[in-house]
Amino acid sequence: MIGRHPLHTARKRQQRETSPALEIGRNRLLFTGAMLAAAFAVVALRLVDVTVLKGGDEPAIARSAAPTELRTGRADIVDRNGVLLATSLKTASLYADPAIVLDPKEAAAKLSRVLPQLGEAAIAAKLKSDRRFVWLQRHLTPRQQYAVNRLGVPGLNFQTEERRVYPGGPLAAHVLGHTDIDNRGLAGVERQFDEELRAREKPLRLTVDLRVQHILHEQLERAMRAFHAIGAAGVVMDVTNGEIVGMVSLPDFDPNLPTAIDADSRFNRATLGVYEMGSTFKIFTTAMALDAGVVSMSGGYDATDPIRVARFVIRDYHAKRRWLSVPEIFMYSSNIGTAKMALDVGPAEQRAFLSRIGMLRGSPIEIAEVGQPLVPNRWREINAMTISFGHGLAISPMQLVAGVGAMVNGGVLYPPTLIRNESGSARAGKRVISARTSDQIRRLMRLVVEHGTGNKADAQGYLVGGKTGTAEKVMGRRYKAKALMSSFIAAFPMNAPRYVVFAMLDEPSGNKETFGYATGGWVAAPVVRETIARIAPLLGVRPVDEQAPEIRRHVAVDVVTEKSGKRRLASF
Amino acid sequence: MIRRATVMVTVVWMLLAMAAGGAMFMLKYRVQALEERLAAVNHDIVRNMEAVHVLKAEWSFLNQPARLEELGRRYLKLDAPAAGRIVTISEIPFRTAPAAAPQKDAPAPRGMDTSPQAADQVTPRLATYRTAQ
Repeated sequence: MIGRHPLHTARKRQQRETSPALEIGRNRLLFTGAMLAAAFAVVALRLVDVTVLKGGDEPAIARSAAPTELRTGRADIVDRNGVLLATSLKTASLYADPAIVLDPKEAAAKLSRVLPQLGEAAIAAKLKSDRRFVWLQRHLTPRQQYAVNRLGVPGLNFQTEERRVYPGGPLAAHVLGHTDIDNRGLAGVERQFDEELRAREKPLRLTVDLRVQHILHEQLERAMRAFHAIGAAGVVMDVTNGEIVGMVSLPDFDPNLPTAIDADSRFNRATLGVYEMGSTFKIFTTAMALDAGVVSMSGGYDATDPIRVARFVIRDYHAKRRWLSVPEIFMYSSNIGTAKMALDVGPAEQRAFLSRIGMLRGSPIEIAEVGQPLVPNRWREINAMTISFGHGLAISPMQLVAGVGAMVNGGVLYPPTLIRNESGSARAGKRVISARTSDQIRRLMRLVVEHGTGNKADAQGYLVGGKTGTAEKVMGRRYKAKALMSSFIAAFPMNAPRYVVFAMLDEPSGNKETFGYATGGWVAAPVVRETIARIAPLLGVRPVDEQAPEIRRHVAVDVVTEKSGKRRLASF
Repeated sequence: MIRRATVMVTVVWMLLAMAAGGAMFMLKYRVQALEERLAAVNHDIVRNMEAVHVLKAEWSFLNQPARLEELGRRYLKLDAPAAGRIVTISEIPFRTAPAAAPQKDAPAPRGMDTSPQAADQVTPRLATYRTAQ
C-alpha cells in the first residue's frame, strides 16, 4: 500500500501536470477538424446547389441565347391592317478622330469625291479641328459606307445608329409626325407616344387604313390643284367607335426628311387649325332643336325677311323669302330659319349642348397637334344666332367629324382615336341625343344630297347624306371676302351609317367647271363623292339600290312646304 | 495481402479519377465547341432578322397604294370599281341551258384561261356544284 501510494500520487501528479496540455491539444485538433468539416460541408452543399438545384448553367445559356424578336430602339408603327408605316433601320454614321487623320487635306479631297454634298472645305475644316470626335455625316447608305471604307483613310470610323424610316413618305405625315436625327418624336403619334414607342417591343397599331389614306390624299390633292386652294384637309371616321380611318392635311411633308419641313406643311389643318365651319353647324343646331322638342320635323320658321340684330344682318344665301319647314331650312341651308331655331332653344341650352358634344374643348385625338376652339366669352343671343349656322365659334375639323358622327350613329359620341384598341372590347361612348333625333338627322342629311346643296356628293349606291359648309375666313378682326373655307361633311350609308367623311378646301377659287363657284357644294362635295365611291368597297360597305322600298323607308322625309301643313311635296 | 489490396484499390481509384478527368476534359471542349456554334448561329439569326427587317420596310415601300395603283393601271388596265360593278355571287345569274356537256377528258388548262370558251366550260360545272349543294 505504502509502495503504491507514492507511485499513485506521482501518477496523479503527473496526470495533473500533463492533462491541461493534452486537453488543449485535443481541443485544437477538434477545432481544426470541425473547421475542415464545415469547409467541406460548404463545398459539398455548393456542389449540390450547383449541380442539382440550379440545373447547370448551359440550358440557361441556350434559352437566353435564342433571340425571338429583333430589338430596335423604337417600336414600329403599323396601320390597322398591319402595313408598316414607320420603322427603325440600322444605319452607319461616319465620324472622324482628327488626331489620327494624317493628312486632313488629302482625306477631305478623297471624302468629298464619295460624299460630294459635304463639300471639301467643310470636311477639311472639321478634320483639322482639335477635338477627338467630329460627326462627318449621319446615316450613310450602305453604298456610301462601302465607298468610304474603300478610301482607307485612317481616323474615319462608323457608329451604328438607328434611323426612322417612313416607307409611305408623306402619305400619313400628319398622323405619324416625325422624329429628329436622334429619334426623338417631334410631331404626331411619334411625339404623343414617344416614351411608349421607346419602351415597347410590339408594333403600335393605328386605326388608319393606308388605302383609305391614299384615296383621301389623292382626291384632296386633285381638288386643291383644280381650285388653286392654299390648303386642304380631310378625315374619315368610323362612326361606330370613333376610329379615325384616314386623316389628311395638305400641304404635307415627307417625314423622312425632317429638316426640310416648313411651317405651313407642318401645320395640321385637320386637328390644329380651328375654323368657323359655316353651315355644317346647322346639323348640330337642328339636332339640338329637334332633341329639345322646341320644333318638330313638320314645324318651321318664317324666313321671309333677314334678321337685323344690332349692326348685324342675318340673311340667306339661297333665299326663298317665305315660311320654311325644318327639312327645308336644312335643305336650303337657311341661316334665318336656323338662327330662329337656336333662339327657341336658348343661348344657355345651346352652349350646354355644344359643350356636351365636345365643341368647346380641344379634340381628345392622340396627337400633339390639337387646336383649342375659339369660344366667345359671353354667349349672348347674337352669339347663339351666328353660332347656329357656324359663325362666331371656331373649331377644328376633327371636333366637327366626331360631333357629326354622334349625330348620325344613333346619338352616341365617341372620342375620336388613332390607336387601335387591341383588347377587342367595345369603346365607351356617351349618349348626347336620342336615337329618334339621330334618325331624323340622317334623313335630313340624305335630303341635302338628294335634293339640296350637296347633290355633287351623291356617290351612287352608297346612300350618301351630308351638309355643305362655306365660311368666309377671318383675317385679323374682319371677314375676308373671297377667301372661303369650303367644306363638306358626309356620312354613308345613310340607312345605317358606318363612316363620316369630311373634306375641306382652304381658299379655293372657282373654275370653269364650277361656273366660278367655290362653295362647299361645288368644290368639296365632289371630293367626298369620289372618296366614298372608292373607299366604300374597301371598307366592306355594299352598294344598295337607292330606290328600293326597304331603303326608302329609312331615308325618306315628308317635306312640308306650307305653314298649314296641309299641302305636301311628294315625300322625298 | 492487405497491402496488395490497398494498392489495387488505389490504382482503381486513380484510374477512375483519370478517366473522370479525361471525360471532363473532352466534355468541356465539346461544350465549348457547341457554345461557339450556338453563338455563330445566333449571330446569323440576328443578321437575318435585320435583313428581314430591312426587306419588310422595302416591301412596305414597294406596296404603297399609289405605286400599286399606277402599276395596276399600266399593266392590268385596272381601275377603281364603280358601285354597279359590285355584286355578290348569289346575284350572278347562271346560264339556263349549257351549250354542251362539260368535257371531262379535256386537258386541264395551264394557268387561268379567261377566254369565252373557258367560261362556257366553267359555268356548267359551277351550276352543277350549286345544285349538288
